[in-house]
Parts: sequence; C-alpha cells; structure tokens
Amino acid sequence: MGRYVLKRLGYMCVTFYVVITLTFLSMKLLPGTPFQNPKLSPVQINQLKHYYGLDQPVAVQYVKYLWNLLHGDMGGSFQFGNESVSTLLMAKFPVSMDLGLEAIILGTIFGILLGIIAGLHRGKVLDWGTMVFSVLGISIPSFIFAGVLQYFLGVYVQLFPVAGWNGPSSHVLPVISLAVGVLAEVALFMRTEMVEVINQDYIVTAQAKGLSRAAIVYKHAIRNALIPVVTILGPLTAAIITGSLVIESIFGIPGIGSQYVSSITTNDYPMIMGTTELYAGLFILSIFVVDILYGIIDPRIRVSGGRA
Amino acid sequence: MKKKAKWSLVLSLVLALSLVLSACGGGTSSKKSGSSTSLAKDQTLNLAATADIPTLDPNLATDTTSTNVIAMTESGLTRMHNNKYHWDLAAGAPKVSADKKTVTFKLRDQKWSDGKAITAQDFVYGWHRQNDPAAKPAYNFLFAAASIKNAAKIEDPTNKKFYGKYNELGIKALDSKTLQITFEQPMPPFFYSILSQPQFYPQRADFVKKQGKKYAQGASNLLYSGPFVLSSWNKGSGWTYKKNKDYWNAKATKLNTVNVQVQTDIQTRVNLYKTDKIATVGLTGEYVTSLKKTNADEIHTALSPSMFFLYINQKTNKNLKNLNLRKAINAAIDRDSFVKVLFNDGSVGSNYVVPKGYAVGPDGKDFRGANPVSGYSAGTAKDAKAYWNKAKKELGIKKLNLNFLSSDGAQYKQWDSYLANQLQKNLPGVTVTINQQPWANYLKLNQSFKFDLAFSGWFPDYQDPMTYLDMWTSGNPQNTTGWSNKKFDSLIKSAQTETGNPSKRWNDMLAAEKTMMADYPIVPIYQGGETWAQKPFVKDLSYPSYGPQVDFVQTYITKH
Repeated sequence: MGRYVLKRLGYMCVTFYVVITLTFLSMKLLPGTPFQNPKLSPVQINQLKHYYGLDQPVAVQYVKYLWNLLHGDMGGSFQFGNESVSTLLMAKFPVSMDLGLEAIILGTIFGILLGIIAGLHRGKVLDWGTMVFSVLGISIPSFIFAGVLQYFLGVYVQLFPVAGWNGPSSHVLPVISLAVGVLAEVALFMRTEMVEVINQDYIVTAQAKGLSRAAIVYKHAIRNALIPVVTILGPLTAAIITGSLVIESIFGIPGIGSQYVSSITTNDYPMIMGTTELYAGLFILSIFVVDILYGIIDPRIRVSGGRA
Repeated sequence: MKKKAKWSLVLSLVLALSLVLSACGGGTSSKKSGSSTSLAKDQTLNLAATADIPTLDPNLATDTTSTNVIAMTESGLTRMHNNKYHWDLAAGAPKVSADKKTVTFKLRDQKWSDGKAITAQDFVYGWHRQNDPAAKPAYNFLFAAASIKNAAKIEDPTNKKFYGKYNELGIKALDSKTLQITFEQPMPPFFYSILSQPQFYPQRADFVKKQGKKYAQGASNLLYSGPFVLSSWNKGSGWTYKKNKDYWNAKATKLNTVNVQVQTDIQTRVNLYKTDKIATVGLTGEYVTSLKKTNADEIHTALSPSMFFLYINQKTNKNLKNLNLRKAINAAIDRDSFVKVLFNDGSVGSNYVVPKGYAVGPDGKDFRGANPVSGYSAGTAKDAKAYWNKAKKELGIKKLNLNFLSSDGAQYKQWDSYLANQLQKNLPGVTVTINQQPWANYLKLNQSFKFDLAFSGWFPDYQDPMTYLDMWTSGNPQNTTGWSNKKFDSLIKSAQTETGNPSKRWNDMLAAEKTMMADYPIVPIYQGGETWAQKPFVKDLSYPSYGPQVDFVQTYITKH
C-alpha cells in the first residue's frame, strides 16, 4: 500500500507540472495584453509591458514563473491592483469549497437514499418518481433552480436571504440549487447499481440463508452498489467546486468562480495560472483520494491498482 | 452528517410547501411609504456594486468602481457635486497669474485619517508618483491633457531627455499650505473640474513607502481624507464606508454608514431591491419595463456622457474612403428604434460626437445647444439607398462585404445583429459578417485595422468637449479609422492652444464637430442613458455625468 501511494504521488507531481506548462504556453497564445484600457496608446502599452516583464521571450518568462512559484510567489494580479494571487486565492477559495462540499454532501446522501429506494422498488411508482425527478435534475441547469428558488423563497415569501454568504440561512438556497444536479446524478447511478446487485447470485444465496431483508440490503446490496458511485464522486466533487460559477454569481457569493473567468478575459496571467494550479491540484488530489477509497471499500482493487 | 441530512430534509419540505403556497398568491409589490422630509434616525445607506473594487491605488485606478470609492474617501483640490466643481482641499479660488500660466492654491486645514495634516508636499508627491513610471501609472495622460508643464514630455517614452523625470512637472510647494501649478499654455477651462479626479489627489510619501507592496490593498493600507473612510473591505463580498467626522465639511455629510455588497448578477440586484435590502439599483431595459409596472414612481432616468459609435476603417479598406458609402452606412441605421427596442434605459439615438448635457461653454450654454441639439440629420432609408447607388457608381462595385467587429457578450449579439440587419436591409448588395471577439482581442484587431466597421464606446476624461474630439486628429492612436482631415486638425490644434481665449476655443470645437459630421469618419449610434430605481426615502443621491458614478456625499434618509 505504501509503495502504491508513493507511486501515485509521483504521477500526481508529473501531471501537475504538465498542466502548469501547458496552461502557461496556451495562456501566452491569448490575444491582447492585460492593459485593456482603450485610452492607452500602443507606446504606453509597450511601456507597461516592459515594467511587468511581459516584453521578454516566453521561455524566459516561463522559467522566471516556475522559479518564483517554487519560492511560493504566484505573482500579482493585473485586475486587482497587483495584489498577490495567493492572498486572493486564499481569501476566496475556502468559500467556493464550502459551497461545493455542502452541495456534494447533501446531494450524495439524498442521491444514494433515493437511488436505493428506487432500486428496491423497481418498476413501481416510487421508482418512476425518482427517475423522473433525476432526469429533470440532470437536464435542468442549476441556475434555473437558483433563479426559481431565489424568487420564491427569497423575494416572494422572504424566508431566506436573496443573496450573500453570511450565516447558515444564506447557505440554504445556493447549496440546494447546486445539490440538485449531484443528487440526480448519484440517484440514477445508485439505482442502476442496486438493480444490478439485487439480481446477483450472492443476494439469492443470502436470501436462501434466511437473512433478514434489512441485513441483505444493508450488508450486501448497498455496499457493493456503492463502489461505482465512489468512482463518479471524485470528478463530481472537482466539477462542483470549480463549476459553481453561475451559482456564485446569482447568490453573490464571494468565491473563486467569477474571478477565474474574468482573469481569462482580462489576460490576468498570474491569476489564470494560480487558479488553474489550484483547480488542477484539487482535481488530481480528488482522483488520488478516490483511488485510496476504492482500496478501503474493495480490497481487491488495491492489489490490481498496484500495477497501474 | 446525519444531523445535516435531517436538517436538509426539513428544508426540502419547507421548499416544497412554499412552492405550493406561492403558486396560490398574487403579484408582489414593495411597501410604499409616504415621503416625509424629516431625517430618519438611522442614516444608513445600503447599496449593491456590480463588481469588486479592483484597486484603490490612485495610480492604478481606471475603472468606475475604483474611482468611485476613491472619490468618496479621498479629497482633491476640488470635488464634483451635481456636475459642478466645488472647492474641496483648496481653500477657495486660487490666484491666477495674468498670463494664466501659473495658479497658486491656498490649502484648507484637513487631516489625513492618521491625524497628520495634509500639506502641499503631499500634493507634489501624489502628482510626482502619478508620473513616475516605476509606480506604473495607468491614467497619467490626464496631466498632459490638462497642459501641466512638461507633463506630455515626461509621459512620452520616446522623449529621452524628459521621460520619467517627474521632478520637472509643473507643481511646486511654496510652503506647507501653498501649492503652485504651472502650465504649458494658459490654464484650460476644465482645469478646476479635472482636479476632482483621483489622479490629482495628494498621497503621502512616508505612508506609501512604509506600506510598500501592501499600499492600498486593504481598508487599513490607505490614509483617508474624504467625506467617508473605508472601514472594511471584504474582497469579493463588499465594503463599508463610515462618515469621516474629521472631514472639513463633515456637517454636510448626513449618512453615518454606507454598506456596499458586490452582486454581479442583475436579477439578484433587482431582487435585493425588491426585498428592501438595497436602496437603489441600476436597471437594464427588461427590468425597466417590469419595475415600471410595480414601482413606477421609483424609476429615475438620466443621460450619461457615454458615446457609442462605429469606427469606419478607411485606412485598409479603400472602398470606405468613399464619402457616399460612409453616408449610406450612416443613413441606413435607424438609431431611434435601436435604442427604443434594445435598450429602453434612457439611451438616445445620436448623430453627433459631443454628448448632450455634458459640457457648458463660456456663454453658459450646452455644447449641444449651439450645434444641432438632437444631432445632424442622418437621413432616411431612402437617402441611404441614394447614397449607396452613388457610391456603387463611383467605386464601380455591385456588392460589398463588411466585416463588423465587436466585443463579445450576450447583449452585443442582439445589438450587432440589429445593426447588421439594418445595413443589409437598407443597402441591397451589402453583406455584413459579424466578428465578435473578447475585449482584449477586440482591442488588438481594432488597433491593427483588422475590421471594416467596429462597434465602440467612449467615456470622457475631463469635463470638456475636447475629450471627445482630439482623438480624431490625424495619426492619433485612438483614431483607428485612418481618417485625416486638415481642417479638423487645425481647428483642434487651435482650440488646444487657444486656452487663453475661451470663446474662440469653444467656437473652434463647435466648428470641428461640424467638420467631422460632414465627413463621417465614424457612424454615431447612441448616447448612453442610465435608468435606476431608488427608494422614495433616499434623497440627494445622484448619478452625475462627470465625477463619481454614484455620488452619495450629501445623501440623506428620510423617515419611512
């Protein structure tokens, strides 16, 4: 297990380095400069480029960037008056993570529950209801839910704040809006797995042994059905934490999403790099955690994983 | 986790219930209150900003949010209020020399927020720092625009002798309370109002040096001198102003607290307004229509000084050198329907260069009062066809494809299609290819003349028609049309040098606009407008055409 983990860690670092390099190079292909005030003349823009070292060859800039990064310096953001990128990320990322994790936890728990119920009542009303709900949840974008929730619960009955991120009540609407998609996806997945597991021979064996229904479902069916669900959780977590941009904007949550998009449109190079590194790191880490989780749920995977 | 699940279950039940309940209800309306004139006890104003503050360093600030915050928390020699300048840190009108090339200000007693007095040296340092390339100034061309002595040379990187030598700038502290400013030529008429811009504010050398990289990056990394101080700034979520009790004119400030929350989504801002969480909200067309139905008496409209137009590239597209073709393009566009259908926010169709209600001449009249008020005649669709037929004959062409460059974004899609459609409909044989690009690339393509028509906007820098006119002189970097007109150039040159003779200068500018509008280097489209909703208990809140975007220095809240 120790060697397996070490090896995975090595791969993680290589992947991370490749991501940094590719992002840096493709970022330099973005047209234009970070100096986007139409009132600046080309001469003034060149002068600013010089002061920020942007007139040097890309290779030099790249090496300088890596060197600074190794020393923990991610540079200053062009959009935000040269403020250090790491300070900005540290201030905003926990908010996005908070929102994302709450939605993931809520969505996963309810998704698994719904999936189990549907799987156990295959072909019945409960199953159909869950299926319809899930398909709707997957196909309707989260910002539609967000808008509807904000209007009805925020403006109309004024039960929850319209926007903001202070106190538990302000978390309710954005978390629900974001969790619906997770819930639907997990429920569908869980249902399929349940249906499959329940038809397995070992369930029949368990029934034949005279185990109670609860014991069969809990000990045999759910545990086995959960493995594939864990597979989708890794990417799903990364997607939710990074993909909550629209929700953040609708509910005025001071997260990282909108900053990422604006950093690209404004050629805020240090910010693009910093945010990408954070996201990539997170994604790589979540895949790593999923790999380890497999091993815990199903010891057989640990062995075969060692060869990968 | 179990606890959380239970809690969420309750929530989802509540959610389901409320959806059912709301389906049975009628429309919503915010509470109306009789407007009283007595002050409310709680003088707190809640606002929403559309973006976070990018920077509070007066050297780096170029956007409306940053400059708005700086204008509320810092002071210059003058302060704009209701589109007029008022003496702020200047203790009154300065002494102006006979040749109008030297002015001497006496400073008022005012302290920085750390208790030290603001001195003339602080102004000198602030102005020097704005012209020090190492401090990366982004907007210092205002000093050259205001004809401050040597500013143009100091800001010109090709000037080996002067570039970056900010000590040569025409500003001097005669003593700690006396400030002398010298000009290249007689002081321009807009000088007093431009002094209200953050670029001309004092900064304090010892504080800036001590803060180093941290300068202006947090509420506590700045010194304040304005009607308000910034008491907190939570990056990404908002900031709070508190009244500055040490401001010399503190008695005119009624508000104690102003809370600003960052909300990038307009639907959210409108919802916050409807639920009384914010007191005013800027509106776009679709919200104007819906709020007019429920809160008609809370809707306000004003013209803004933003001008929108199409660049016509006659440098690399030889066809567009043809005047009749440019006139045809200009006449083909129905501007009034454009703003009415697509904006509905107070914007007006324009066929002029200098906006309405922005600059007043020596005779006290608006620029647009002297030159045609609602613009020059653009012509009808019929005129457009006639010009187009002439142009076709002169150029020997039957068809023409135009590359229409614009910035991207959802709203531009509609605007671009409308404009393209007008051209294609009214000029048979013309096809328009829309090329939407991210802003950075738009600028690049625009500056390298890779377009035929480019949709663009212009916002003023100082309170004078010149801010809209001098960019069109031959070879000006902003003049990405390739248009060059000797008469126009000489009129602008003369207006720029004749600052000692305001009425001749004014007439030169009027003539310059007329010259331009006879030759159509651009197609004017519209002058922007602003529409906002404001709770009836908020008084004296203004959206001035020059100065801070939202001015709440003298705003007060009545009982409600």
